[in-house]
Amino acid sequence: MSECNLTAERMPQLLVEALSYHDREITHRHIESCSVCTTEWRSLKETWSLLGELPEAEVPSRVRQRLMAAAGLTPPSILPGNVLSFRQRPAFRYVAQAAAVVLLVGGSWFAGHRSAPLQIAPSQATINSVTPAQFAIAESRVIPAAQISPVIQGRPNIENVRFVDNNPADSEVAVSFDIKSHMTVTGQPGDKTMVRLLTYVMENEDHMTPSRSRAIDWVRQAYTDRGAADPEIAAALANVLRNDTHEGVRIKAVETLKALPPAFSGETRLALIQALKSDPNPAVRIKAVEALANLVQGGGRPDQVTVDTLRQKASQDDENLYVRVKAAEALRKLTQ
Amino acid sequence: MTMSIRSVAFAVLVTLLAVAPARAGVTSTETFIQEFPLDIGGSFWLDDPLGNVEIIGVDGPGMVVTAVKITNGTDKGSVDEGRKVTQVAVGGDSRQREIRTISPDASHPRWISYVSYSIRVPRTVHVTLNVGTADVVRVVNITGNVIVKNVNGLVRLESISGATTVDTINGNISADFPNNPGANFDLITVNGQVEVRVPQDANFQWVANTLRGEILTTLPVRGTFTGTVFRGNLNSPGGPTITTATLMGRAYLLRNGSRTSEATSISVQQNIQGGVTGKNASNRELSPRPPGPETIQTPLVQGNLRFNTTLGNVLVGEIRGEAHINTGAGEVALQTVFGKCDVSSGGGPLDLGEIYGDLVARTSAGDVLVRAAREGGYVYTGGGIIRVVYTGGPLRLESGGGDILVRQASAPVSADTRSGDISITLDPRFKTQKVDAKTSGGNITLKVSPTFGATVEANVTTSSDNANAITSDLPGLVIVREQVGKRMRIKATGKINGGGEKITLNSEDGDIHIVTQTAPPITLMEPNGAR
Repeated sequence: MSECNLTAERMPQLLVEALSYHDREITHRHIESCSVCTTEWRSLKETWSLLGELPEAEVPSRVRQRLMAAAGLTPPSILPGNVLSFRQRPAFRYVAQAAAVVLLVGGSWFAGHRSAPLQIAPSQATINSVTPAQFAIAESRVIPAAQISPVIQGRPNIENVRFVDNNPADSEVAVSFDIKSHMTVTGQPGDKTMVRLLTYVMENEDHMTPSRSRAIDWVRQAYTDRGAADPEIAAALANVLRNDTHEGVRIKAVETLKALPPAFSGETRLALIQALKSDPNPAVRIKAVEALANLVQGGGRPDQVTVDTLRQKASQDDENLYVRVKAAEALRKLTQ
Repeated sequence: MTMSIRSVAFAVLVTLLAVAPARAGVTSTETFIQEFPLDIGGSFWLDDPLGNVEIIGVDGPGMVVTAVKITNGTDKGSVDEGRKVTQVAVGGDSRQREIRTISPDASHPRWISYVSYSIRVPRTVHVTLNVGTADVVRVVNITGNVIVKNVNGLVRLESISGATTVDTINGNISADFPNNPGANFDLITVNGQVEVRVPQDANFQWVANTLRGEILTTLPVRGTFTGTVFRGNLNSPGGPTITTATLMGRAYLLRNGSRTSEATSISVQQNIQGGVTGKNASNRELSPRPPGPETIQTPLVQGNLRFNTTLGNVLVGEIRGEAHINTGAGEVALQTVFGKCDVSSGGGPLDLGEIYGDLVARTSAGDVLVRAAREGGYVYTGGGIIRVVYTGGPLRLESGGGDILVRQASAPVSADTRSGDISITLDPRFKTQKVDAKTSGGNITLKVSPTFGATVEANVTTSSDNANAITSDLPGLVIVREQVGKRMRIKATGKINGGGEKITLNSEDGDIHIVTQTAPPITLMEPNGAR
């Protein structure tokens, strides 16, 4: 795959900041040095910014009702009297939105299609039950006033207030603001919401180290048991190990990965191998080699990449002796 | 070329060997014997994940392959399945012949299937073997180049005169030279040992390297050490190079007809500061390695313990005197040391229990746990977590990256980590205590009693504008925010509970919390032994 193809594939992820730090750097570097990709990137960004200028779109109530009916759920039968139906927005906005979405999706498909065809094995999907979420943690939300209690509890910090009147012809107005409030989410460790929250906190590099560091401590306590371990948590830890710039955080991540049951080694094994190969902190490498040794000991025939990495580490003259010995000891457990 | 009686005998032997260890169940054995064209200047390549391999060089062109496929299973259906998915594929042409055992990557719970080979090839061909696990990989009478790679099993070379590379993970390597070696040999194993047998009058250079094992010989070798690598000559200088490298095993150079038990060790002198230094290995200076384990494991040392090793672990229950321990790499675990404790490791965790004397503990990499440093001291790791349950004297802690946790400090503490959290709990019986903590990427938590007094200076440098980075359960601090370049510096100064010793806390990209707690202090047991 050429570098341009790879970059084109990564552009949508770059746009939504879903790339790892390392990949982000590589992609940006290529875009800066390649005129074709620069043009494509600008075009994609313009499309994206167009999307951003459009107002938030709530799901129309009739669509929601149809969806809930299809899922066999009953919508609330009594609606508050002061809820007004949404205005229809001008048609061109819908058209612009749709065009932008088509462009984005089509561009992503085209970029991916140029390199390798995507093959997804068919599988049977079954929906047992659907429970609508009462509340979603989101970056931005639009909520009708009727759904919010008129009592404001405590003294939340409300900033960046804007008053919006999209259509002076009708009586509806909007107040837009940032609010910082402290939220406590309760649940079982295995609840998807809890897993997603911790995953988000661990992987969110925009936030400061404290949150990630503490989240990993908590994950180690709550998710390393066989029953509670979760593949999403394992994947998030692997991402932290790959990408976090703070050694202390990476040490915690690899230590927690080491404690996970071997069944979760699919995603984590590659991160451990990468850490063993290239992490500058020797403590991370020691824990990575110990974690890989656990995986080898865990049974089954280890993959060739793991064996080759351990082999290379055992023979690497400039590696810390302890890491070399641990790699050799891990290899000794290979039976087949 | 026709099949010889030896091939058939080999097939029968392999079959018998394979059947013998089979578990109760069903066994299927299939034998294939076939000839293929192969030029005398050609090359031969074999890939076999499981099974013995024998390659014998003969005069003249052509190749005879005897392959024995053995499948053991719990029942006939399982055996049939294993037999079907294990196949022998022969490819290439008379210039380059390839044989590959095709089998599933993962082992199957109900059957095991493998193929052993005995192959006769022109002795001038180049041979490449990629073998997974075998009891023996044997290569005999080849004058072309030989490459062998395997995971488990003995690799045995007999009368090989072409340039040869053997790279095995857990296997031993044996190379027998009835005549003077005529080409370079690289014999490398991670966990196995290497034995080379040569005529007494052979001329070649010998390079031997081992970390944990020994280098031994029955021949008059002259040479020097560079680090752990020995470079020497047998008889006249020059000639081809035989490299014997093993990480964990022994490397032998033996006179034909001599045994390993007759070999003496080429000593490695250790120099703690400078690492391993060379020692002339002339005949007079060749001496057996001093006896003694590389790993100490003992419940009690009555007096002082002084121990140096390039590689080894030290596990001691109680040392009635001082401990001076240095290991190039390895774990050190001491439960009790009555005197001074000076421990150093080139890499590996340190687990130290009750230390009654001054403590100095250093490791290039690895976690450090100290249960009680009664007199305080110094603890360093190049990367790893430092945990101290109790310190009764001034203690300095440094980590190249990793958390520092002190559960109870009854004396001043200085903690510095390049990246990681610092948590220090001060002895609640003390009204004031000096603390200096610094992390270049992490949080600092200082736990004190509600009556604790100190003069505090805390700094957080952060890229987050609205971070609430410094908090204190005790009043008296003035918090100031200032922009420094693109970053925000938050500074808290003041006296808590009327002031006292100086508390200095510095964090980058983290937060600082001074919290009160009323947990009871840790109670230390007094020793039973003499001090």
